[in-house]
Amino acid sequence: MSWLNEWMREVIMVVLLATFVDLILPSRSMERYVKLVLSLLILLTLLQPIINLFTDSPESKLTEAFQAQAMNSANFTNGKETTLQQILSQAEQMKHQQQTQSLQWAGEEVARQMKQQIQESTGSMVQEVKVILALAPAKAANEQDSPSITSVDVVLQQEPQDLEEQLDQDHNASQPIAIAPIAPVKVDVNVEPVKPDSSPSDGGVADKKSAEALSRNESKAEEIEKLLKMKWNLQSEQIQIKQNEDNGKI
Amino acid sequence: MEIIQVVGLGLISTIIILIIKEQKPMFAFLIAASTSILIFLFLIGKIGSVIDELEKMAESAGVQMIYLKTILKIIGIAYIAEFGSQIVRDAGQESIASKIELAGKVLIMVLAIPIIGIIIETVMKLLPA
Repeated sequence: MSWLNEWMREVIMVVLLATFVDLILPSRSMERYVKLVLSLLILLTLLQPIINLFTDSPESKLTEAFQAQAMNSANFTNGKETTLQQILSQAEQMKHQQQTQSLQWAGEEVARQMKQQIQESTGSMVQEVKVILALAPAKAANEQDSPSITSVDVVLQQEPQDLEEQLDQDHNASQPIAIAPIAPVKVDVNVEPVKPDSSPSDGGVADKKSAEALSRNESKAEEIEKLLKMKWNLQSEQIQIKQNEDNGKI
Repeated sequence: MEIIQVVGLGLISTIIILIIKEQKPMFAFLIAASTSILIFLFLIGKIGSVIDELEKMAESAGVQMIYLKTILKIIGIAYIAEFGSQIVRDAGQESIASKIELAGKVLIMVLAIPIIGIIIETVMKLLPA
């Protein structure tokens, strides 16, 4: 019975809308024409269940018809027919769109697999893996373009241990000073795989504990990098490993 | 309160036009046209809010958007054609005004063509071959 419900609702709404339009019409001269179109619309809504039985839904057909009309009028104003060139360029565009879509999808899939692998083999918490794929141009003429990985971004999640340490640190720092809440010290751990010994000093507070955590993170990053290099045949410039420092903070 | 503004504007411009008409009929026409454009612009915002409300209503009731679009197109064509034809009529060009109205009517009829097509197709399928 739900179709009856829907149909009734649609008919009532269309009739209401039509009455309203009749009210806000500016002049009498258009009235007959507007009434004709409106009554046709109402008729279409009334017939909708029957039309649905015989052909596909009237809405989609109506949309198609209007689109065809718009195309026709555009052609008319341009004064030329659609040429083969136009159709070809359209096809090219569509193909390109499809390709980007499939690349994106493949990238997501690869990222999912990488995340799983990293979590299984190193046991570290991974927040996000982002893989960007690109089409490498074909080497031979008869070869197809083959997709390849351009870059891999790995964002590590802070482990609970680290978090506790950091909290501890904050606590210690705030004790001797009498001012109540100090902004939590941010340790920006940014492990760049290209130059792994560049110690980040964004936080300004580089005491032992954070240095320890840093080296631990670095070794973890190296481990992950090695894993990715081995399994996915990547260069180290393509891999970016970051530590997410905001996550989990109070 | 807005209606007072609109009526005031209309009255003032009418008086100015009555004064000017003897000396410069050209300027009288310009004032008339600009007044009507001003009032129209003033009303566009209100019409917009009404249409927004209609759209919301239709969406919540689950009416197909294509119906609403067709209805809104009809309103738009009717308003714009009316507006243009009245300005031209004020300038004394009755024939051009009626042509503008004709264009509006034809464009409204063009909107009806796909609907008629679908209905006729269905009826033809209903009839035994």
